[in-house]
Amino acid sequence: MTQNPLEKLYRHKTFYTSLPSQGRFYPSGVKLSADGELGIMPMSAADEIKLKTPDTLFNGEALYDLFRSTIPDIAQPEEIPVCDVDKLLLGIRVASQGKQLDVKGSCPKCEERKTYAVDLTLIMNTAATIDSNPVIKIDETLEVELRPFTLQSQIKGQIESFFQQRMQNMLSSDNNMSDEEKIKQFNQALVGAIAMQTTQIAECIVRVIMRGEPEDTIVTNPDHIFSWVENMDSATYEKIRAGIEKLSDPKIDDQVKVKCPSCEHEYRMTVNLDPVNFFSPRQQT
Amino acid sequence: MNAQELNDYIEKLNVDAEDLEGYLFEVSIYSEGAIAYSELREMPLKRIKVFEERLMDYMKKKSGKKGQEYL
Repeated sequence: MTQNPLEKLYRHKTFYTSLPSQGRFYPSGVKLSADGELGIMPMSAADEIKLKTPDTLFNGEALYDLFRSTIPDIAQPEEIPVCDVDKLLLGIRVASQGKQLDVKGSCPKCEERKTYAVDLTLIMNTAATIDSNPVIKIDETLEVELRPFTLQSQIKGQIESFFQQRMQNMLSSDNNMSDEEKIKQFNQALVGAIAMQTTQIAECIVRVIMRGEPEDTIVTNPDHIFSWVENMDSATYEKIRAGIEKLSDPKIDDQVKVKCPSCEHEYRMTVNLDPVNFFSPRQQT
Repeated sequence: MNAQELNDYIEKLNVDAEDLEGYLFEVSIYSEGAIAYSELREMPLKRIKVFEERLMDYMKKKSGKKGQEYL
């Protein structure tokens, strides 16, 4: 069956939000409105079904498809810098089901369990703009231009840690495996984890600038950068990793202040921003 | 999350997805062809709910009930 060209008329953008990245770090492009905001459409029923499909959730396809469907102005969802991800997910939730989220919490004083209405736009507004300089200075002769982690690298990292965890559980519970074989398997897993981390860091290095006479040398070749990361000293590695993490974290405050209606005690509770629970029309527990 | 919790969670996701698909089929069937399942899949749930309310309203009126009778 051919796709209905009128499908695009079923939905329209109902919510606009600014981005912590301000639209930077999207190599394939992002189309912002005249006032620098990104338009978001509500989720379709098909999106809701995909978010409940375990396999597509695990490999990240559900999230990529969700962004493709609801935010068509992002050319490549895999490239979304992680500093924008949570704010965009909140925006999709607001566009789809409104700004109110019912969250259950137990009062630490009287232990009464109540449901509180949380305004998600207030949580969105806590996201800080990533305005730090993406170029860090390693020493007098070396500068590195960075970018935040991408959604794709974050998902790959999560999948890798899942398999690492599974491997560890298997090694600790398998009594039939010899100690030698366990050590071998463990070392293989360790090598895999290190390679993954190296790739993640290398992918966030846009270019390396070596100051020199008569002219500077600029390296952008991904293979050369990967080899450099593999062989760099730990102080440089830590400096670069800290720089990437700074660019990746918009410091969204997912804690809200509520007042217990029974004893009037004020306390803070955390709103779970996990995409699956978060988009469920039911209350969070 | 241990293995049992993970299994329960996956089972819950599958049940929720089936419930949602079943709901879309029902709306399509009760609308007697006014709206197709493929069209419903592309619509936001909020709009489907509005359609469902209007459809119920229409069916009640069509069955002869009016005013306070069906409230």
